[in-house]
Amino acid sequence: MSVPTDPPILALENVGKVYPGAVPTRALEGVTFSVRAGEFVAIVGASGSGKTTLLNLLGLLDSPSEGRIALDGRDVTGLWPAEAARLRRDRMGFIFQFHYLLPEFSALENVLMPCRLAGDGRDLREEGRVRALFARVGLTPKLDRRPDQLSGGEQQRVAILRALANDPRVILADEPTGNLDSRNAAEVFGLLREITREAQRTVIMVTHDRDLAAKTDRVITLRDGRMESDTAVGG
Amino acid sequence: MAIRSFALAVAVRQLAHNRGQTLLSIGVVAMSVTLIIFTSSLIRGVQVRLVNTITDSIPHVRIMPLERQPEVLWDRADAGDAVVRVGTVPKLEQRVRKIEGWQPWLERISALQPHDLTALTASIEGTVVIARESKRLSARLVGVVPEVYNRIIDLQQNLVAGRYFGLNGGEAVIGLKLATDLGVRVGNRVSLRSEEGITTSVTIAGIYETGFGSVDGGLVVVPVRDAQSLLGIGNAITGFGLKVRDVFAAERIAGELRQQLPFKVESWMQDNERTLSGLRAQSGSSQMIIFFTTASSGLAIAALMVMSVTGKYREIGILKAMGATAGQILRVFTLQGAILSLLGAALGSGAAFALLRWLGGLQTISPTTGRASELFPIVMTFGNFFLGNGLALAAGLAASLYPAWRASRVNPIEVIRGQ
Repeated sequence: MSVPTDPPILALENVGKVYPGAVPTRALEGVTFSVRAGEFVAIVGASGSGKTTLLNLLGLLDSPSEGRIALDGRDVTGLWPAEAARLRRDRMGFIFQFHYLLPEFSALENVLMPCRLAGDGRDLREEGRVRALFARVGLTPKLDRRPDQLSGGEQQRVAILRALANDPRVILADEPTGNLDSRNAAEVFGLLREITREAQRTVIMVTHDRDLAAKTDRVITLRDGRMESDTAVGG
Repeated sequence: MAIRSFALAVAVRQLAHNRGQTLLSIGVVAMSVTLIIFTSSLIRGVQVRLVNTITDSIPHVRIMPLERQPEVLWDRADAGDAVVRVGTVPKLEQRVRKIEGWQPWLERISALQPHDLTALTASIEGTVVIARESKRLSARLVGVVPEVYNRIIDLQQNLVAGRYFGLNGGEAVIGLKLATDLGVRVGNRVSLRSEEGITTSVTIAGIYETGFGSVDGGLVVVPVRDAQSLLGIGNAITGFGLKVRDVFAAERIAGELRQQLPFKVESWMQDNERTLSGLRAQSGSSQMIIFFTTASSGLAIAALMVMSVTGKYREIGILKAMGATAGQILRVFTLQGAILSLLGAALGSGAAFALLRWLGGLQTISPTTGRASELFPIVMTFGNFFLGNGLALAAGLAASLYPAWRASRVNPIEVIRGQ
């Protein structure tokens, strides 16, 4: 494995998160790491260790209570919601445990949805590239199918293509194979790995599956909201 | 053609996908619009029929000479050594009050209200006794130029025998009830005797039936010259009759004329205050029905859209995670409200139009006169359709605001956690 030498695409510095309430709950504390372009990083840890909180912070869905987060060198801590939404749309792709494809739209339309959100005709410009991605994953015959006409594995592959539609710098995946059987899980993970490697895209994946994590470039382990380890693996 | 706008595309697709809910919402709006248009058209029709019943048989505004007030002698400056004579002077109210040299006044009145008037005529009115052999009945005498007076009361259209236009001297036209009471037909002669004691004999040239009791049973119409002779007023007239474009503007117009003319001016509204009060109550009821109908429609849409938003909670969250702004999500659901309202309003307008056309064509036969008339007095106006559609659109949009706001507030983190 070659160690990337580019400047970090994502950098966290002493990030912490406390959920307010009658009894404030600390979910993260002193998390510091950076991720370079093209890296495939797994975040692992037990339930309640802060994995999802960290992913939400990285995806600009939430703001840290302390510390700072930089995306492409720009401090993105505490952005206005609309600006955070714009950055998510243009720079990030999301994959969730469940596909959450819009049932009213075809597979192709679902994949083009992040482009359509931009409202600048990007969906028209990107359609050719997206169709090529469908071909790449063998889903061209299912372009016009509705989500309910696809199998579970196909739905999740379409969800992966959707995360790639805007050609994002970072893909954030939350248990992307957690809802699939082992055969489909292996296929979907393999696909995610291949496509992002070819496109030199950064992936940060939250998983509780140690075997899956071992197939990434790097594993960050969280324990009780703190980074326990940050280990480079073989991928 | 593919819809390029994100909000419009999602709004339309979701509505198409949730067909049952969409049809239900459109149905609710359509029913409301139909009800609003139907109610306002019917109530307007009932009011117009009622007002027409009152105003078709009378001038909307009447102009008459001022009543002479009794003079108090000691108020007069020259009353010092006046001698008061007691004699047989006719009572003031027995004299026919008249307007001499009336032609300039006719032009002046016409010039004062050039836009509001639809008909203006000089009138000669008095009281006569109409007699045929031993039968004698009191009636109102009107001296007219039939072609002009017909714009005040349409007798020509309501002739059941003989003729009206081209009425000659020595001829009269009377109502069917009066003719029946007297036992006369067209061609018979009757005698007329005025309060001034002048008697003449006329031939019945025509008999009409308007459906208004006072007109059919108590009006004798003769040419102007004959009426002037009977009342002994020479070339003078007893007043003017006006028809105005908007019957409800009659009192305003009367008020304006009152300020500018040295005559007594009365509108039909002064004599029918009770009826008008009833009409106002009816309008109030109509507005209440419209308000509650609109509110029901809005609440139904709101409830259905809240259900829709709740069902789409996860998709909305994921869209927001992908970069949809709160404004974009807000637009999706307000557009849905607008689309549902537009489609419902269009359907409701069509249904209302068809219903009103059908009801408007139904007729009923009067058991007393045997005349056919509309069963439902319906007045379809652009305004009623505009009102129905406008309210439906406003209610739909307002109703969609709360669900849309809820949708725009969906927190993607909660959705992700909820998985």
